[in-house]
Amino acid sequence: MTDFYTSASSQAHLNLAITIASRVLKTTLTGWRGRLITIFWIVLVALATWSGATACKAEWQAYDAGEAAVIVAFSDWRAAYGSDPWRPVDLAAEHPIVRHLPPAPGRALAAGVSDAVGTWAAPANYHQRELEGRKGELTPLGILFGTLDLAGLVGVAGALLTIALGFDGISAEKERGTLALHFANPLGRGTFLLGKLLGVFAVVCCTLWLPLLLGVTVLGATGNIAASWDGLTRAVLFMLIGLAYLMFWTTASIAVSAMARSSAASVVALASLWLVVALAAPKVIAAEAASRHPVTASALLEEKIPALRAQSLVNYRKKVTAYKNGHHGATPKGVDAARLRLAYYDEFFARIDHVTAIDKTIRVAREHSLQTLAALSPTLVYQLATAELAGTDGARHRAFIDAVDAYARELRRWPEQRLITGIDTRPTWNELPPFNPGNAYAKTDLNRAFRHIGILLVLCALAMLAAWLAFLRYDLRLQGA
Amino acid sequence: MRYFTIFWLELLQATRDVRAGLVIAVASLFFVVAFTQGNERVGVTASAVAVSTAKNRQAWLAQPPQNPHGAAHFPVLLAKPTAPLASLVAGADGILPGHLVTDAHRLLPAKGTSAADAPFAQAIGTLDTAFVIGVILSLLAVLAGSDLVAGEKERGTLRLTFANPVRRNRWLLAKIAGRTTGFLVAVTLAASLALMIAGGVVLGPSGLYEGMASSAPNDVMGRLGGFLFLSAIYLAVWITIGAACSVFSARVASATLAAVVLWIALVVIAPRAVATIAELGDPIPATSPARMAIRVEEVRLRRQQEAMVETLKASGGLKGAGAITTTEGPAAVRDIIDAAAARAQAKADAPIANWRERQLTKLDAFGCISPTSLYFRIAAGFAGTDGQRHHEFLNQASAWRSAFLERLNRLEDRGIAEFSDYPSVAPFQFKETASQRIWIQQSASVATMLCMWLIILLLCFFRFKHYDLR
Repeated sequence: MTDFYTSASSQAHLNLAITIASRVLKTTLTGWRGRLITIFWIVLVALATWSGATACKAEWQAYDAGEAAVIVAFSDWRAAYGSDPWRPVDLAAEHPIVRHLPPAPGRALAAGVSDAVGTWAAPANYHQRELEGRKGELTPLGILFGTLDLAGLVGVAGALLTIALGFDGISAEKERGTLALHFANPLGRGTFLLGKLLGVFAVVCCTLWLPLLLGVTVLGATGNIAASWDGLTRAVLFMLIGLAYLMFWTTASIAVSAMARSSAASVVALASLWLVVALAAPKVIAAEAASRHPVTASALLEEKIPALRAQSLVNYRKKVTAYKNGHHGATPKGVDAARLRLAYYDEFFARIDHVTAIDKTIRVAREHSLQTLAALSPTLVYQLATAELAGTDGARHRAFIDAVDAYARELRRWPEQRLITGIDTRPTWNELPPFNPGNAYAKTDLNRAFRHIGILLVLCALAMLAAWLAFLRYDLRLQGA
Repeated sequence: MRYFTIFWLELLQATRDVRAGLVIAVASLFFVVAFTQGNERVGVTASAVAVSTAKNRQAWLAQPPQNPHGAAHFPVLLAKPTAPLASLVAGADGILPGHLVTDAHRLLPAKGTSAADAPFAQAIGTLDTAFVIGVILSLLAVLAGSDLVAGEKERGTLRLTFANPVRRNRWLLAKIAGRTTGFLVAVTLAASLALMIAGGVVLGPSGLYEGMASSAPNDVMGRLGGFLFLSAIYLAVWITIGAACSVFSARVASATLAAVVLWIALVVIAPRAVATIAELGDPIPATSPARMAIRVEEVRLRRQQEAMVETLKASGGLKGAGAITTTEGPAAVRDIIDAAAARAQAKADAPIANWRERQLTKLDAFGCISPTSLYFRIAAGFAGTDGQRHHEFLNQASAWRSAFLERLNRLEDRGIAEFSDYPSVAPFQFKETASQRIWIQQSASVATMLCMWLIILLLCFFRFKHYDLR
């Protein structure tokens, strides 16, 4: 101990802090608590890695099977008409085409909304509100139990285990009576605090972050994360966000430990903080954002669509009557009929857009609200960030719904336009208009990821400031001494 | 009498302890949030169901006279009412569709999931009463039990106690019973306090009242009784797990750490792992090929139907027939086609239905490894927010649609050209399963929970016999 302080007095504060940190690292890693938590965490990471890989593989299998079935179904459907004359309405209303959302690029890392929302849609309705093929609908019980993924593991269990590693970082020294002894030497409080923080953070990195890195590496090596620049970016950012998140909990643990009179009080305060911040706040905030900006209930919108259709049909019939009047009572056929139907579809879709535009605005406001309120809970920031990185956030799902919605309209308009250009044959699969999934396949948004990391670092800095201010006035003496 | 005194002293100590105050403060805070948000959640859904159903009914009644088959084309909205205890247990309701719309020629899929509109909120989960009890209070419960024996040992009072003629197992039983009762008293106080703070929302409109409106009040009370009974056993299980950690440890610190590790394993990890293990070697099948196959089959059958109708027309069998008969054939033809469509649907859905059954069996079996997964499953069952009630809704809605179409099409078959008696078609009314039946359905699971409790208790007794008192 003497060497420790004499050397520290002649060196920079940072070196002294590093010395304290290395001591914390050594004693914790070799202690029973560090070993138990490491073993426990490795088991959890192995389970979550395996779970992520299984889910990813199952989703790809279902996607491939679905995509292969579309071409077969379309060919069967085409054959079912035999030599019947071609009618555009067959494609508009009777086609068997289904469009599939490919599994998110980082599905193995973070499940996000994957199991709650569907994976495919039949672009036949006038307005798509949701996808089908929801896993949750098939196994509500499975959904009730939740999904095991690396992001969820770090978000909840990782935070708790970080607390378990750091809750007595300072208070234990006080309880053992060694705290006052340290400061009998020329050691600044800030240096001591920094040393403790670095030490516990190093322990957290070795105990929790390194096994996590191993899990992500295994996922990459087994092909569950795309072997591309985009896949690598997502994996690296996932690890960085994990590091920033664990750093927040480390700082919070040291801060509370620097304020608490005893380790028992520290653990109670930190457990309460964890319950509120990691477990309750994300749920409350997400529900609050949804209730602040309620979208029209699906049943209510469904109720409006027949009326919108009826209004458009009135105009369509008027145009048909006008045509008949101008053509000696002849019913419109061929190109003329196609033009009238096209005008009807355009009017109907414009009416739907007018009604749904309100919901689109509300959804944007809700997203903004969620992102703003998320700053209140680092766990929610972490969950949002990892879901965005993995592509399992609501935005990708919504973008795909919009794309299918646009495609459904295309499948109604396209045959009519084709007829107008003089093509009057049943289309083959290759002739169909291409499906444009739009933003559903967007690449990683680095700006958003770094913004989330920034928020977590700001929260870390605030916690560190609180720890420093509290420790400045911390009573070093043993209770009752 | 001696053991009753131990029980009583433990109860008094548990209620006077600073931790009882912490339990009351934490539980009441979370209960207030859960009650308020549960009430709002159910209120929004219930109001949307009421308004959309009323509008749809109004539109049905306002139709002009038309041929019966034309009336059968009206899209009737069949909405699922909110579950009796939905404000307490959100369960799987958010990811299950809330309504379906009838179609004269095909069975349309149910729609309207909350998850579609708020997917992230759904993925994160809901802070409902079941979550407060199942996750938050279980942590407090296991911590409350973790110093039961080790605490006495550290204080040195354990040897003192057994210097008297006290039997170890009876003493332990009295202590666990006292601690459990004290904890449950604190939770009851917290719930009552939360109820007062939240203005009794959970009992008012959109809360249990909403459930009572859709089913008999006795049934709601029966379900509520089941939920409360289950919650009490569940918390007792966690206090006993805490006591078990204490009996297996010499120090409070190690008992507490073991209790927290067990809690993470059984509450945070096990239920999720169960779902993954259940899918091992049996991944979720692709659901879209079934939909596409049914769609193609519909076109084939319609062409077959058209051919049959043409043959009948050619033979003069449809002379003087009504609109539906001349386009879709007589009842006999329609029945053949409907039966073929139902067979095609069943064939296409079979792999998915089989997978679902296998999955349910596995989840039922594996779910028992964690009291939390068991608790959530039974709680959703009592609340009516599980898959079972949803399937009951789909069955009832499908039966209503069949009867609706059957009636209108038969009118046409009887040669009635115009239908205007719209009020005679009674609106769809979902019949809730009686609470007695729910109790019977859940009895095996509740018994499993009780067995779990008993096994942990026996484990405590066995270990405590050889516990070093020094």
